[in-house]
Amino acid sequence: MSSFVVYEAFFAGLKEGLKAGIIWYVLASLLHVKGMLRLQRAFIAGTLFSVIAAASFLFLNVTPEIREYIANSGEMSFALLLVASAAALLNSSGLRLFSLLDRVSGKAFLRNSAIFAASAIFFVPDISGTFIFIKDLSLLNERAYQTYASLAAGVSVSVLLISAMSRLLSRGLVSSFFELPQLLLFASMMKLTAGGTGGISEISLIPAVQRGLMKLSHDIIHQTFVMLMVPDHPLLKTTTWNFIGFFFGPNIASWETLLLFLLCPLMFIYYSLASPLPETAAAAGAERRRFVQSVLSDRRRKAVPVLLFVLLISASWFSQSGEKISAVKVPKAKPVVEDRGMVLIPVTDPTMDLKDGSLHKFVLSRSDKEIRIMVIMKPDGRISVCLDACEICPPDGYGLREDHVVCLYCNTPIPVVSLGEPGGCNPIPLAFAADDRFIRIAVDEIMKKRELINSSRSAEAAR
Amino acid sequence: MPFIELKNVIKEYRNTHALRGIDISIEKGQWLNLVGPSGSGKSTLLNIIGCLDSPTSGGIVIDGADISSFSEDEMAVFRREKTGFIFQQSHLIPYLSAVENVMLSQYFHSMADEKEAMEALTRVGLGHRLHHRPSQLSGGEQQRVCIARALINSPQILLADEPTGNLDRENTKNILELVKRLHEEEHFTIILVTHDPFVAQWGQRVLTMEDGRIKCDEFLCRL
Amino acid sequence: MRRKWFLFFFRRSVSQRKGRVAIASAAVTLAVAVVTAMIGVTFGIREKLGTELKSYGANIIVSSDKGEGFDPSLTDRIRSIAEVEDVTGQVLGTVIINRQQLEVIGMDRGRAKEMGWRLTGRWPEKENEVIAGISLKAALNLKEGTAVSVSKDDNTREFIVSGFIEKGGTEDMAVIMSLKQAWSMYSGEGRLHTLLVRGRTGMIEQAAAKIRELLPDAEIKTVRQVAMAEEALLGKIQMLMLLVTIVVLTATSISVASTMGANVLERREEIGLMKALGASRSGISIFYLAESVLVGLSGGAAGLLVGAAAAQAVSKGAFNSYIGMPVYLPFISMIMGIAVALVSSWFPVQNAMKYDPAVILRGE
Repeated sequence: MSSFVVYEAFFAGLKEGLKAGIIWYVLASLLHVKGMLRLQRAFIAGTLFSVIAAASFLFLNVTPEIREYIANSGEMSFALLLVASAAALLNSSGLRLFSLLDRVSGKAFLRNSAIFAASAIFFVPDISGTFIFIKDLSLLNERAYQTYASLAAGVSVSVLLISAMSRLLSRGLVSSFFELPQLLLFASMMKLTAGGTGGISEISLIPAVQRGLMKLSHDIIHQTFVMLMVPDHPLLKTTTWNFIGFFFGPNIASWETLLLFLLCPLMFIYYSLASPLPETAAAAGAERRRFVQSVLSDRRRKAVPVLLFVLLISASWFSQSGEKISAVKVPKAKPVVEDRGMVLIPVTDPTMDLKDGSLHKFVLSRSDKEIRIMVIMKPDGRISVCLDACEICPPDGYGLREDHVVCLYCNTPIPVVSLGEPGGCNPIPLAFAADDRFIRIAVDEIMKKRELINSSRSAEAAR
Repeated sequence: MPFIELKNVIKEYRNTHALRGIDISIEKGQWLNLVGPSGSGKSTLLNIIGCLDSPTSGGIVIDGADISSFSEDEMAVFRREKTGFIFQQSHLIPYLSAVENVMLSQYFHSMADEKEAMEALTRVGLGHRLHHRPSQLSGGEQQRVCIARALINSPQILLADEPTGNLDRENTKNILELVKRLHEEEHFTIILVTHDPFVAQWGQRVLTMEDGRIKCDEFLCRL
Repeated sequence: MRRKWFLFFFRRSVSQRKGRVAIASAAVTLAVAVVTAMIGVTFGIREKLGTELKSYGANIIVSSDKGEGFDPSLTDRIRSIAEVEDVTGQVLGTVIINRQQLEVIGMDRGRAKEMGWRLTGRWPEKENEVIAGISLKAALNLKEGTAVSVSKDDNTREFIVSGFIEKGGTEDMAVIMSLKQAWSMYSGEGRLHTLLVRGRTGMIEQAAAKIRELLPDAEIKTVRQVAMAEEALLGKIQMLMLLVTIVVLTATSISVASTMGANVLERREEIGLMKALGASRSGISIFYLAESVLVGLSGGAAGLLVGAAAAQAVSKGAFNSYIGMPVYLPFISMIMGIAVALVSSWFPVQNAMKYDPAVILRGE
């Protein structure tokens, strides 16, 4: 057991050290060539700050909320990095949208602050996550100091590797591939491939960011259509819904967000390879050829990190999308009855246990309408009770796929941990009372919340 | 400051001394001939000035750069930017046409440009033989291709090792006239090795070598 | 533009020496074919052995010794173990039929058909249908379609026997019902008593170890003798294949290296010229390494086809059927081809880069 812990701690240290070291090396090469090597101090300061800030977690009590917060901030910093690199790519493609950037890069103080802030944003989530991971590991080990020692060993080895690398590679060679946008993309690739807080790398960010982006764009588009919806024209509504449903189905949804990731990089590559040759004073002969060749060669090299980014994103996308289509389990709804204005659902009964973590559905029949309710126990032990429908889609209901409930109409996954939040594609939450034996829901509550279900296609029409 | 300056250059092979302490200064644009019997070290000296070989000891400064301490890669860069070579055997690639042979030189310098290559061949009088293979060209024509190839990257120094050694008198004259014309147009420095006294009369300066040393150094009366 | 010329020159120079490139390629083809065939046959043997043993049932039996059984969801978790091919759970108990105490096996209906039992009659379809072991036919005077009254404690239910199975084991004296039916007899359980696991051929012990990690309190038994014999056999086969592969790869490397050595020697005039023109070492060597890659690619592709065909031929001969190839096989073959060609050419080419141009070009 303890050898496993030592091994994991070592690799965590190695990974973080290499991450910081490689980015530092590339940044330093780039700055060196531009004669701005002093700026690397801001980067080193930012990294040290991150380490110190992250180390505070070693002394705090780390609740699940904090863990989730750190995971979210990791995804946030990745998203920020992508946005920044997209902006930088657009800038380099000749779309001079950002005179702000020029003004910032003019003043030394702003330059230093920007680099300090960027490195802090980049490293704080990762290093915090690593420290928390190490702290968890040290609890598994009888001799906690061993864990920390192997962490330190991992970092030391990474330092050795970096200095070896800097000896072998010339700064000129490395910096010929990088400008600001490439550096940002490279950093985001490092975060992507080594951003997991585990001891080994995991390309963990893509599904999370993908889900976030998908949900965001899906919510925006759906709300827009809802607002635009002409209330009484059945044909228009049907086709629009079908269009949206198709657009956000499992196959297409991946493509849209993939395109979103890749739009700017691909545009950049196109511009750098397709732009016309530059003008030169030398009309003809050896000088002209030399100049043209160096420009073309430079363009090609600068396109390399961008191309790698495109390949990495595409590859991880396609490998994830295979896994994504794991089975969605849709349980059969059990009938429940109302008793003096309340619906009572037993927590355990011979055929089911609401606390088993899987999705349970119940159906209440009222006059000619059927209302479905879903109940599931969240990982933290709390029970979530919702209507089996959301405010946006036709109420086809939800199914369970691993740790998400998935809307059966539009395939949006909703993490189980986030159930209870109202709005968007989330299942409509219901107020309920629970004790050891029963869950009690007021029928009035059910009927009230039921109004929120998208009534453009009622349950009957949908069947 | 002379363009090329050698100070006490010594070149030793396994058990022989090819050069035993050479001191020369060469001005920019000068046409210098190296003459001497076989084994006198003239080809070795040529190769060292052309950065094709490095001296065992001594200093060589060309256009301000000390090439005696260059690494292999730096020597290659120097060669492609600043020198052009012509040999007794033309060393043309047999499966490439005349144009393609010139383009090969362009490729290693920066990039190939067919139009420029064709213009260069036209300039040396081979406009009608652009796409012929070396086997289809006469000795004189082959050397013309070599000249075009050597000069295509606008080098500062042209180095010729017995360029007319395999040619008859008529062709020798033609080639030398071509070189002279180009020299007057472009003003590159020429270092030419020959054992033919007729050839040695062309140019401005003759260095006679013997046994790895300079025996005598004469300037011919012309500029 | 540089790329254009590179390809042009490369194509031209290769077409000068088509014959010799083809020979080098043939050497690589041989090596890749052998390796591909080896991998294909090993993979196939694994598969075949696996199929042979399937009909003998599971090779790992997991039982709970505390009487509370296993959660049915465990089957999914166990199935997700890499070394496990399949899992099925059973409920075991006793019931009274006609005042006789008999064994009941509750199992997934679909699985029952895979157990390799000989069936007379038909598989149960309706809710109340069960099958019985062949010995019960005589013992209880049953026929297909007979109704039986099954009791457990004070729970009695009627079932119809739709068919009889025969295996030659204890099942012959048991009543086999679906999991639901079994649970309805043992009310309030919903759990499994035994898990029958089929580990992958050659990895049974690993599978058992992982299951042991998952269920430290359970009793885990492997079908040891069979497992051991089959793993030993596979091990021997793999060793032999490895040996042959090493020998063939070495021979091919030597062949390709000497071919490339001859190549650069022949073309030293060209190399000397390029150096005089100011080409860097990498600028020159890349042409030769590109030639090796070409040899590797073509040899690899051809070797893949030949090797795959050979593996199929062997399989047809030995097992009288064709075998499936692992998905990664083409990648391995191609990469191996390129690797062999590149690695063998590396040193001859590096050596050639050290040629002295002055010596080559002098040629007096």
